[in-house]
Amino acid sequence: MKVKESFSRKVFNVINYIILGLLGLSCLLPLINLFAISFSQRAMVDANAVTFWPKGFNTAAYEYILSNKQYYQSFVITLGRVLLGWIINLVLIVLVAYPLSKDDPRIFRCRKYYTWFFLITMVFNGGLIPTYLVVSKLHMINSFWALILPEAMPMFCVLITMNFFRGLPKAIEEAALVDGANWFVTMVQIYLPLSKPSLATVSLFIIVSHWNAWFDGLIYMNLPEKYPLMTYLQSVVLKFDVTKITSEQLMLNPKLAEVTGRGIKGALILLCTVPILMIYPFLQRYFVSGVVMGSVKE
Amino acid sequence: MRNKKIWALLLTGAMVMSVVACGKSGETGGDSNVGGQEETQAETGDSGNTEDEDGLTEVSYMHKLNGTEKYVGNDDINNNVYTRCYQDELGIKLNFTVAAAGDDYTQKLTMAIASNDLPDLIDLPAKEFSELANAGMLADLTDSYDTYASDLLKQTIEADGGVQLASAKVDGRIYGIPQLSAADGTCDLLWIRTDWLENLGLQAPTTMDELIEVARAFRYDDPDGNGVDDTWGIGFQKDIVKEDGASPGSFEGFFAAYGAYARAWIKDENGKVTYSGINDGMKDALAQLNQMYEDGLIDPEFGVKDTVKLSEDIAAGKVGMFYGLEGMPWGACKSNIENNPDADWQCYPIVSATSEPAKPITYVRISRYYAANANCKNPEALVKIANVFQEKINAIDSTEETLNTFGVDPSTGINFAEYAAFAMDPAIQKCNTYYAEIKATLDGESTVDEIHPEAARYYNVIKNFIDNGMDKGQDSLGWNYYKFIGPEGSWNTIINDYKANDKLVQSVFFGAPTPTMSTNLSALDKMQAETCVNIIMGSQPADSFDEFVSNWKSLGGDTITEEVNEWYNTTFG
Repeated sequence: MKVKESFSRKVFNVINYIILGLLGLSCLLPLINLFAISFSQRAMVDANAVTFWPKGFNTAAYEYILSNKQYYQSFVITLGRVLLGWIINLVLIVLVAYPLSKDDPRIFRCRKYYTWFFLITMVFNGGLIPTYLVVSKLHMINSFWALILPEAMPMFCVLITMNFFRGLPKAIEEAALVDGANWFVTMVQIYLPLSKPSLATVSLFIIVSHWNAWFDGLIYMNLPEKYPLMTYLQSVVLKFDVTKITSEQLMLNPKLAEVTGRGIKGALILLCTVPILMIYPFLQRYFVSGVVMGSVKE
Repeated sequence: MRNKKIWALLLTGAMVMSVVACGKSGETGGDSNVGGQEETQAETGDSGNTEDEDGLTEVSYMHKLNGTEKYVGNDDINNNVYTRCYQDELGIKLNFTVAAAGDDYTQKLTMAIASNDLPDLIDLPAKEFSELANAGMLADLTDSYDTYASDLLKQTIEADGGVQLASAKVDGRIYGIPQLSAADGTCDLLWIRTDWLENLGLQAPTTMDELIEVARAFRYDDPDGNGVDDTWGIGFQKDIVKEDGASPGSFEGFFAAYGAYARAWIKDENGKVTYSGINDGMKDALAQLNQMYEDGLIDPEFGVKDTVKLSEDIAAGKVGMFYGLEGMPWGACKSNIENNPDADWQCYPIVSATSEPAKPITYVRISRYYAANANCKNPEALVKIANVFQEKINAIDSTEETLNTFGVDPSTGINFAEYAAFAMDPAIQKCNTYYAEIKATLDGESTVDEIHPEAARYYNVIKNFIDNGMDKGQDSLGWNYYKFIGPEGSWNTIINDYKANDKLVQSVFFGAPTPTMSTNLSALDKMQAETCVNIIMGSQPADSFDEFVSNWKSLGGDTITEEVNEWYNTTFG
């Protein structure tokens, strides 16, 4: 049975859609503008004549980026850190969250102490220089592991997982224990399969944060060839100076003369964000469910 | 059953690890650097050189990148045509331990200085160089320089008679090698759209009054003939007080008409260095700009437009006149030509508002000093390596082939010279020499084979442009060079004339910021910039400039002036 909508409700809906639509456009249009600029002719970009459709279509910016092996190197590093970081993070998160989800002091006596121990890291951190010094004294400067280990256990994700574990009926666990399973088997065979939604959410957080991280690459890596993709993007967007291309280069490779700073930056931003954008639609729903997940405790 | 899944998970993990490992070794060509062991691995990896292994001198180096470096094949920053050359010809293994571009480099440098972790050789900005040199943390390079520097290197570094090298000395000893700045190239020229002049039947201005008339015509007489009121008389951007220049749209050329400069330190007839930004001439110049602003000749949004925004206006054909540097054909003007092949630009000498001829200001801007750590065992490596670039690129007998290997690759346009360490660009003579060579060749006084191969490359482009009927719409690049280094180029028509008639004024201070500059200068600069903008836009009367001058002096300006004089006397005294 359809409830008849009141007039004020209709007005509300219309205004609501308009506001949300504008909000959506304000996110989408800059991206479209970048897209148009990255495919446009230099003279048009320089005259600021490009809006939402490429003018003087060409692919010089993309050719410039894709002919540089730095892009591929950085891409491989980012891919590696996402995959490896995801696995390591997930293992650590589960191993921490499971014991911490045990309320009963007879099962885990020092739970409170450990919970606070971890929670403090969420609120306070060492700050930039001490963190850098720790990483440096552990000889991880210039090493791939510096991108993974310092952030190997995001406490926020532990909280989500922990609360989800707590929400599962205790009776299932007791049944498993009665049947002779030990704690580890219970965790792996009972809890993990039941917590797929929460693990998916956490995975999404991890993957996105690893993909987007750039600052650690900047401070821990001493040579650009070791930069992850986002650090490379950062360095290009802030530092790329089209005037550094010498007159001699322009003369010998007229294609270079087609390149603009804005075009290069736009193209690279798209090349760096599109891969992660593509997985968003598939994982979007976990974001929504993930945020409220575990918020209601039994 | 369940165990299988765990195994599967572990195996997947192992596979991922191996993929990462493969990726790493693949990307560096399999012969060098993962993690901290790059030196040892790289050495053993470079087989075929094993006999010399022990004879190699290893030197670590911290390098500021251009940000446009590109590597091909298995090359990388530690393994390329230059590093191989250092190794083969000099027996020096140069390890780039830290490299970054722009501000990132400064951060890395600060971190290295703070943790006392400096490599053997260091690429230093002026401020850090002066701090370290005075703190005794840099090696004395005087003997290395005297012994090992090739004639060509000395010639390049001392092209200005050793003025810039003097800034690298402490108590008469050299502690660093400055990357010389081509000061002559920093003077302002007046760029005008000649097609607009023709449309309106005007002549290029030679005095300030004429310039204002031209600006008025450009603003109100529809110079582009499109029937729309969409043009400005003269283009300016927002940065009035800026150390490293602002082109297009600089104010320095305009101020020079009144014998004033916004940011220069000038030696007066008494031998004392004074700040020109507080000259009386500035007041007259600002009053004139205010008048032009009131008359609508200047874009009222100039106060928020940077050089990029102004360039957009130029490229879109809204601006027909501006002050700018010699290289302007590369930027906005070229885009303007491509968008509108009827457009044409030409540079003219700046005009004077008084009976005195206008003298443009030039600035020495030493971007970096190359120095060696005081603990470095082989500081002479720096000089030896610096010789290489001179010999390969700069030498007059350098061949086309060397240039292809060590300079710009003709097929891909990759600039190998960017890989070089301590690349002293002979910026001071380069444009002049090349221009003279190109002119002589065009006039038939010499042949392509006789001139420097880099100049020959430019010559070919220019010749091609001339031979093809100077069709700038088709060949905007040819036009570009024609207007830069060709017969109608800025060097030919104006800068050499400036030089010959002794019209260039050089700002004498180019050291590291003095103590009071570090604390007070940014506030003073801000005050100066605000005063200038306010006067131009009429929100402050021109007479308030006097108030600014007394404020400037009392808020640290006088102390800075004393410090600058002290620097000048110790450096050149």
